[in-house]
Amino acid sequence: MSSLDQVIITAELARRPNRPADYEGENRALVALMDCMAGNPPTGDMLQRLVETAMRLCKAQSTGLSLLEQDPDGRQFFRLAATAGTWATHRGEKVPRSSACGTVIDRNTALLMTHPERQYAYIAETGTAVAEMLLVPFHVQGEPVGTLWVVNHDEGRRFDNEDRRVLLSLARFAAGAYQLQRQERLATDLASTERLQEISTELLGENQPGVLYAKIVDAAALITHSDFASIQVYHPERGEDGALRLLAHRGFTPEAEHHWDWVSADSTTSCSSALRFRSRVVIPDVELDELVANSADMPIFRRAGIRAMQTTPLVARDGQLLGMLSTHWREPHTPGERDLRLLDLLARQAADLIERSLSVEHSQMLLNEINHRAKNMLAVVQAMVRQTARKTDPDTFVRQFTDRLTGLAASQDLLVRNDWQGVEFTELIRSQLAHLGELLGSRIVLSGPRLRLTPAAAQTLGMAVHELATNAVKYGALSNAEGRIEIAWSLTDTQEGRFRLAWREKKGPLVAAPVRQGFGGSVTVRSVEHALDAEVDLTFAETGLSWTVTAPAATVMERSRRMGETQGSVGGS
Amino acid sequence: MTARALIVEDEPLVAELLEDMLREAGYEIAASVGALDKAMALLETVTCDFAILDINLRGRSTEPVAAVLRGRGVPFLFVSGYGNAQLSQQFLDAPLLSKPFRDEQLIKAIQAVLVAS
Repeated sequence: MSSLDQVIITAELARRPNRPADYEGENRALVALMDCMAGNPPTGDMLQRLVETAMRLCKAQSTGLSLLEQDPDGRQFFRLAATAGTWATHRGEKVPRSSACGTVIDRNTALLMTHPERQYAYIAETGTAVAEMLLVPFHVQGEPVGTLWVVNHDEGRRFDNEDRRVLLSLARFAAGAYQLQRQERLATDLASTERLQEISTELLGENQPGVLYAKIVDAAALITHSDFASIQVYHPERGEDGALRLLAHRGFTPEAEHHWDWVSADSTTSCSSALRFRSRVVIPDVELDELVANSADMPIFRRAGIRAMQTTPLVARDGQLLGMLSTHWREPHTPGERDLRLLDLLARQAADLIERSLSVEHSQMLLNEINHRAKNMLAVVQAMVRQTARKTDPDTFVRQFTDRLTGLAASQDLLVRNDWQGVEFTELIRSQLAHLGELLGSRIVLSGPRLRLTPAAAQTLGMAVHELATNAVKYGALSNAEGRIEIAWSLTDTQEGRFRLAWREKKGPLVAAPVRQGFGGSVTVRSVEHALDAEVDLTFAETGLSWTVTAPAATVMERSRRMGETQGSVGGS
Repeated sequence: MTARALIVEDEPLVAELLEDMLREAGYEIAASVGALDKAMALLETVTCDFAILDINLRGRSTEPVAAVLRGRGVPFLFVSGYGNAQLSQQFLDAPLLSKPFRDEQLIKAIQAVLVAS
């Protein structure tokens, strides 16, 4: 292994826990940067503000931006265009092409390094140790022209994937800003930049989704000097390639609004093309676009007065498509590069805001669901209290009830850990018998194929097994020194599929256990019959208790996983 | 004459709780089921004087059962942990008991639907 490979530890990022994303803080920082861009003179300390922002958001100890330059002899080197933190004093200095920055440019990807001073002399010369350095490339017109980097000198804090994401996001933003500056276009038309900055600030304070979408649409029309604009949200679950739902528009006729309420990928508008290609689509003149001109949408475009259009995808930070931002013109029109770049800045922010409002909706939905499950669970606990309280004295009640509640909690834990997507059968049995320690695998033997239970089956069978185990310890096969329990399950191969589960106790003492009555009878027989459409047989043979459940596989097993999960088998332990 | 109840509830212990509460209050249980298709099939063969319907059976709504009962003029009572948020427009005015509930709340609600019919 070469020493460079020992320094580069980017793969570590995937193994580290991520801190939660602070989109709001990030957005405020971006707004502040836009503010700075819109200032006069526009160049100002934009890059300096950028590295300070990176330092704050990544909680780094040094940070900087290196730009690739050429000396008169054509030799490349990096200029530290902006620096902050411990290494602030190195601002303006030259760094050799064969540096950490050079490696990032060569590989054209984000890199995490540990103690890069061991590899790069120029870092060692600073005399400061570098515990970790995270660098991302910085592109202009697709070419890597520099790097944005953050450093932690102390061993204490380590960078994570969230830092990489923030840094990449800032680098993208900076690239756009840098390009604008370089082309000296900013000074010629500050109005829309200023307006964009105002809009950004307004949007941040807007919590009503409806108003938010209307403002984004207005801003898009303003920036691109368009006559119409619309925003759509992407529904991936609709149809094969998903569909777009109109959220807000500006200037559409009622007919157009109705017609484009839902748009699928096989339609002939710019937004459906953008949906197919996952990139911006510009149609400068619908009359000259063969596909559109001959489509069913054409009469609607004519009646709505739409002659040209563009659609820009709204993409979440994790790359998922969230929706589309479109603008339309009455005359043939090709939007300018500068307008489109400003539109990209708006689209970035619109995507964040949509993501935020979707996540609020999602949390609300989850809270409702949790509330419902909690109430249902309370009703189950209520039933448990009533059943347990029958014919018991207070001490026994408290002991039995607590014990049953613990069993129920164990099943719930498993379900939550599996996202309510079902529970592996062996795992359920093990969790319900965990308190029996090493008896499991010696005197308690499990055998059967791998299979995944539905949440309902997991809860019902979990409770039954828990009750049988408690009974076995008190009166059955686990109440003496040599009794054994065999738990076996199987699936029949018939088309409908039957699930069969048997609990057999052997060499236990000869007593008729009272599991048939009260709560024990409820959960081992009646509950199982009721919830799983099962036939249950509970008998007390001389050799010990025997409990057999036969049920349709469909009520017991998680449908989506049924095929794959029945292949393997778990052994006798 | 004793009024006979149909219970449609997927949570077995809660179904049993409902059965106990009803029997203790002097009602008869015509049938108690936990799956929608079973409930629909039962409506063809079993007669009852009122029904108690859990709104959500593992993700499936019991509204089809309620619609049949309403057509026959049989009173019913929804029980749910969701509140009425899951009901469609036509059942928003149907009586609803929130889980968990006490015996007297259940019995009072049943008496109310029986009187109203």
